[in-house]
Amino acid sequence: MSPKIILLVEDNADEERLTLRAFKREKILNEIVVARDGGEALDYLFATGAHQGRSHDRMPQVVLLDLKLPKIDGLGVLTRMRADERTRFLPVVVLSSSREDKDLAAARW
Amino acid sequence: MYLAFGAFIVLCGATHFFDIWVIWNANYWLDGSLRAATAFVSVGTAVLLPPLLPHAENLARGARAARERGIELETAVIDLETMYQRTKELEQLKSQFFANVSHELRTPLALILGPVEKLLASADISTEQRWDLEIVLRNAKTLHRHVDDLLDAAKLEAGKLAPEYAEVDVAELVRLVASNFDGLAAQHEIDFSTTAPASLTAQLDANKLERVVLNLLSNAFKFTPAKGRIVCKLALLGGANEPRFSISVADSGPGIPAAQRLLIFERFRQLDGGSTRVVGGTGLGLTIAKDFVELQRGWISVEDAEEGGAMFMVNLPVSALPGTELGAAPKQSGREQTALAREALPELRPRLDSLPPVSVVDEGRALVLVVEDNPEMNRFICEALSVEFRTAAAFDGHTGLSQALALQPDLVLTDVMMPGLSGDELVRELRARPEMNRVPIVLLTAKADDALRLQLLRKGAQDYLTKPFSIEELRARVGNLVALKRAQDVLIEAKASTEMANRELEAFSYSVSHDLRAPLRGLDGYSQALLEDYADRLDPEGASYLHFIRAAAQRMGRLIDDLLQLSRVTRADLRRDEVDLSSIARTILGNLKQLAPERDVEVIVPAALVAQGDVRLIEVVLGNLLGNAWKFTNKRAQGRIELGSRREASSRVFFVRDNGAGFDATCADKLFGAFQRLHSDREFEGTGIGLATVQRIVHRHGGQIWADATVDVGATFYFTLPSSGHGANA
Repeated sequence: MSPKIILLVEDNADEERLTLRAFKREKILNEIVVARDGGEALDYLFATGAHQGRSHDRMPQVVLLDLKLPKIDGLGVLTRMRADERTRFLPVVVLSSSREDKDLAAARW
Repeated sequence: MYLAFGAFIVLCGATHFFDIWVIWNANYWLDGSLRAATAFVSVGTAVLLPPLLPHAENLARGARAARERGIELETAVIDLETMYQRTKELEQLKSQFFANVSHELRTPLALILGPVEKLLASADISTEQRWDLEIVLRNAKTLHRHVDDLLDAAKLEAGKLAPEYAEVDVAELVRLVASNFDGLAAQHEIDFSTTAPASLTAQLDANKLERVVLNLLSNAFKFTPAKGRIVCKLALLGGANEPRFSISVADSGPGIPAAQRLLIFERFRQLDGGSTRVVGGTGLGLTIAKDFVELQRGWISVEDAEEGGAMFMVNLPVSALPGTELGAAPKQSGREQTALAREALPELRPRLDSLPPVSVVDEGRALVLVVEDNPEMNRFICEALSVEFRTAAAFDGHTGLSQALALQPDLVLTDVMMPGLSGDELVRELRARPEMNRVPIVLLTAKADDALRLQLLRKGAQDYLTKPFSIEELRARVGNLVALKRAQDVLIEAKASTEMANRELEAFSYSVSHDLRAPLRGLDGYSQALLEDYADRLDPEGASYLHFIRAAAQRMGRLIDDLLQLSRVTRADLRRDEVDLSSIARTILGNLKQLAPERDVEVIVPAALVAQGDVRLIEVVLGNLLGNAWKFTNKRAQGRIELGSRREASSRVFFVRDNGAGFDATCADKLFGAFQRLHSDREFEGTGIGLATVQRIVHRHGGQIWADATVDVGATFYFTLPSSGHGANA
């Protein structure tokens, strides 16, 4: 049985630690892979770049995605994911404090 | 019927003769049968007669009508004769009028020409003065020539212009007239050639023939573009009965469509009759040529030239009719015609290169583009405007258009009648281009054509001036429109910079919303982690500090939220929907009740309070107002919150009323300022931004907001919104 991996895309280390702590407190013991920018997240998802040759069964079951990211931002990651067969139906939870309408609208698929 | 009637009359008469005869002969049988026949015929007649009566009446009426009609016809003929007489009189009057006008015009013209020439001859005038005087002279001469044309036309019409025959060498005459055009041909690089036999003697009116050749050549030069070709040819035609000769003038101009070849010889006729006039002129030149030729038993025709333009052909007999009195050949004619031709030339092809350059310095002043085909008028306008504006000149519509696009002037002043692209077409072309849409256009019209002017104003011209116009009026009108346009420019710039600032603000808000919140979440999150994970190692005081940190961080978060909302309210596009205030209020109050189930608050919300507005923003309004009411009633054992509405003069007033802490009514004006608080944080917490946001939203909807209150009794907030079904201005 393949491990149920959660991909956390978060560039802020404080936020990362708080999120990991929250998982621990809620007894969510899944393996959590952290990507620190949009490019790294896409590399992991599509097994390219630094993550070339990633095992197929290490595809995450859910992605926790921050919107404000260096290089490729969260919405860019989301767009690329939704355009690819492999990740089109992968559940994504957007982590954002933004209540900007345009962000909400863009993340609504 | 007539037969029956005739028989009855005859039988009646016969009966009476028979009566006499019977008295003598006493033959009653015969008499009786005759009487019987009479009776039968009379009864028959009586039966036949009534249906025929209307017919008979009609016959009578017809006859009467015919007689009347005859009279009418006679009257009509008389009227027609009168009318014909009157028309003839009018024709004569018109010719007389032309002649009178022409004579009347010549006198003042001569009085202009004389002094001007004298002034020009004197040495002590400046170059600029000389320039102006030459313009006066040239135009006066042109006018003089037009007057002469009119006078000739009038004389021709009145039959006063009899030819004066003489023996003339036509070849020499043609060569002489043609030589006047050599300079013009060279200037415009027109390939102009004349072919004529060494000599061709004919009996004709030399002055009139010279005028014909001059008019035809003038015409050819008017219509032939630069680098074109004009051929003038004189040839003797071997006629069987009567020797004739022909003079042809062929050009490479636009030519004349077959359908219009008869029309061009009519008075005042110019092809292209609309406002797209190609060249100036009175339209009498060809008429006069035709009349002069026909006076001498000749004819004139026009056909296609080999070069593609028009070819005019004059055909005249070599000899006058036998018995014609021959005068002496006019010696002075050559000189006279040369002068005439010279006068004609400047009008034909104004030399644009001889115009002094027009100023295009001083970038700060408004730029006016003057599109006018008459170079002198153009220059006159440019000079008149140059006191206040920079000017640029274009001499036809096409150049005007390309200059307008290249220079982006502050105003375009254009003539209507122009070669190529007319003024109205220029208006259309300019208005079709978005970047030229705001450039005011002023039309110069010579025509008293109200319809055209109205049409052009509708098409997008801003104003018009009728020639002749005063310089002051021109300056004033141009000045007003330029000022208006400049003001508009400033506004548009301001709008652009505001939009820029708005975009920057948006980017700023976006960044604030993400970047300020992240550290706050750190503060709050780690404080919470400490409280939860290390609870056993914290003494109560340490724990309370951590709670203070969390409270401060959360308050800071709310402040950021509220500030962002305030700025979003101003930036967001306003939508107009039908908004159900009642259901929004119930949802909000329901949520508040869930958060504080222990409170006893009476809520009054009537059904179906509806307004026009942006549902997201109205939610914010009600959220703040009801939230405040909820907050300020929390010290009441029995709270009471009411949403309601009442109809006032022109709008619907909504209100939110509570029985809470209220506030000092004298401070009501401070209520809606951002960060204004009337209660201490200790009493009621809040950021002081909520009501500022509410006010902005109501104002953006075109509504009003106000409040009244009594301390410790309660407060009421009133606001107006556009009623349902009535759109308000955004």
